Amino acid sequence: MLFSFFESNHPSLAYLDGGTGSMVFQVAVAGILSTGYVIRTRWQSLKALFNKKTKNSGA
Amino acid sequence: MAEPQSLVQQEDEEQRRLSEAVRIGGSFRDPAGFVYERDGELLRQVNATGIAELRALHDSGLYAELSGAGLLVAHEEMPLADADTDEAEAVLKPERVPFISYPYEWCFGQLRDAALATLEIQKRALARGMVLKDASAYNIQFLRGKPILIDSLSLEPYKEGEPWVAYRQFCRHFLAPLALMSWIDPQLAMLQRTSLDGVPLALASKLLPFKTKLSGGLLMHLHMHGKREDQTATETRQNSARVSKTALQALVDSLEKTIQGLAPPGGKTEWADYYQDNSYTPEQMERKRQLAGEMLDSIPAAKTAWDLGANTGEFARIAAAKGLQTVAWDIDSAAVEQGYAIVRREQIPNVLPLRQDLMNPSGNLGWAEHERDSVSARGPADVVMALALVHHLAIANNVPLPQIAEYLSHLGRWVLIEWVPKEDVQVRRLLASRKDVFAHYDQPSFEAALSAFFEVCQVEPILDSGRTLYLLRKGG
Repeated sequence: MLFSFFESNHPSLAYLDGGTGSMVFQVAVAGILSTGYVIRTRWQSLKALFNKKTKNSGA
Repeated sequence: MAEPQSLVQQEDEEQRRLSEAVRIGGSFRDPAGFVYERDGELLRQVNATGIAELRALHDSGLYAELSGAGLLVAHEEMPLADADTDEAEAVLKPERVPFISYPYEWCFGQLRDAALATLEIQKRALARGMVLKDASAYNIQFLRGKPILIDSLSLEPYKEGEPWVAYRQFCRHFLAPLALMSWIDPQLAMLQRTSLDGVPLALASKLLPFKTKLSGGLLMHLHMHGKREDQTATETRQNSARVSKTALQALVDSLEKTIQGLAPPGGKTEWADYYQDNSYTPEQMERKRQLAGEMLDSIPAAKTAWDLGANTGEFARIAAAKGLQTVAWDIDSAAVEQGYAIVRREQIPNVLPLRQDLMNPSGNLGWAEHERDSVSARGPADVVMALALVHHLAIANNVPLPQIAEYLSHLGRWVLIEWVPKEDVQVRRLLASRKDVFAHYDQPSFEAALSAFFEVCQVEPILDSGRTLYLLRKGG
């Protein structure tokens, strides 16, 4: 019953049992991690852009 | 594709269908397809539920990218007539891995590299709108010395918002055993033999020291995850379970950093000083190397070699240098670890170091005792090297010489074996604290035991070491 609800919203034909506890936990964990991840990756691309600029404008 | 067939073509097809396909024991879970063998060829049948995945794999460019990067086995499409059952919509012939090995036989470094390869595949897949639908360590094998995904049907189109169904499996198959090996002891790799679907997270959490809760990644993906792994959730919570693509990428990134943060198990091998101690003088060692090389050269049409008790793989690499596909088995985790580090560093593609205890080799495991193959089921090898080994079996483990000879005859067509006499310093060390009950441990008994199963082709003493090398051919 629980599983069929999952299937109707997520029609993946994955044969694997992802574990309902794990799936729900993942939502929380991934959410927490995404803020830091976005900040880090944006910062890295900003740094890369800055390095390119100083290279161009430098000697 | 649907050309009219000549009578000859039809007969050829009948002939092919008649020869029996043998399904690979471990390939049964995924309805999208399975792997089987026919006439020595390894084939993968793709069923209706898998065909869309396969097309997406190619159309997205992911197949080209992953196979080009050596992360996914290349495959060619075969005629549908090669299928095993009528459900087939396509047949693939994947590149074959010369020797199948299992995560419970890998050292920390190998499992770590397999984990990182899995995450790298997931990252590249997400970038192309695909996702791994499973993350089993058994889907990774070592090909040309590097970890590679062998299941082309593991990748499916990514649906935005869908949580990663393989997150739990990844944590059980990779993160848990790696953390246990790193933080407690590499021998804990053995837990994977009894828990074939990875180590239960709650168990790993109980075993790991408190300090691991101070690591964000382990705290989240092992300890907290372990508490929730077996919980059930209400319907509404499940319906609203949504993970954005960015959040999924953050999750993968975190898993990667967590694994990279695990220190390799420390400690020197019990045998680290083996080649430095007084077992051999430099001249004797050089002579042994020379003799081993000459004996290997004299074996006709040898393609595969197993080095039993290979230590860090010095002699396995001699076999490999001669073009043999070599497996270097040793009981000592640190020795296998060092052996793997050497073959990665020197980019030796045809040596696979593995951990194995000859007194308790991994047997036929899993469903119907056929899912994972025993050591002997994956043999025999063309040549088995049993150097500096016989005294460990006969003296340290009390195995009678005739039984040693018999077991070796199951493992190899040719055997290179070293006789280690009772006067030898290593044997004296083994007998130092125990009663010498080995009345029949002598060279004539050794030769008699071998002659029951082998023809003795060469006998060469290693200078004045007291040790002797034998080259044997099965069928004495």
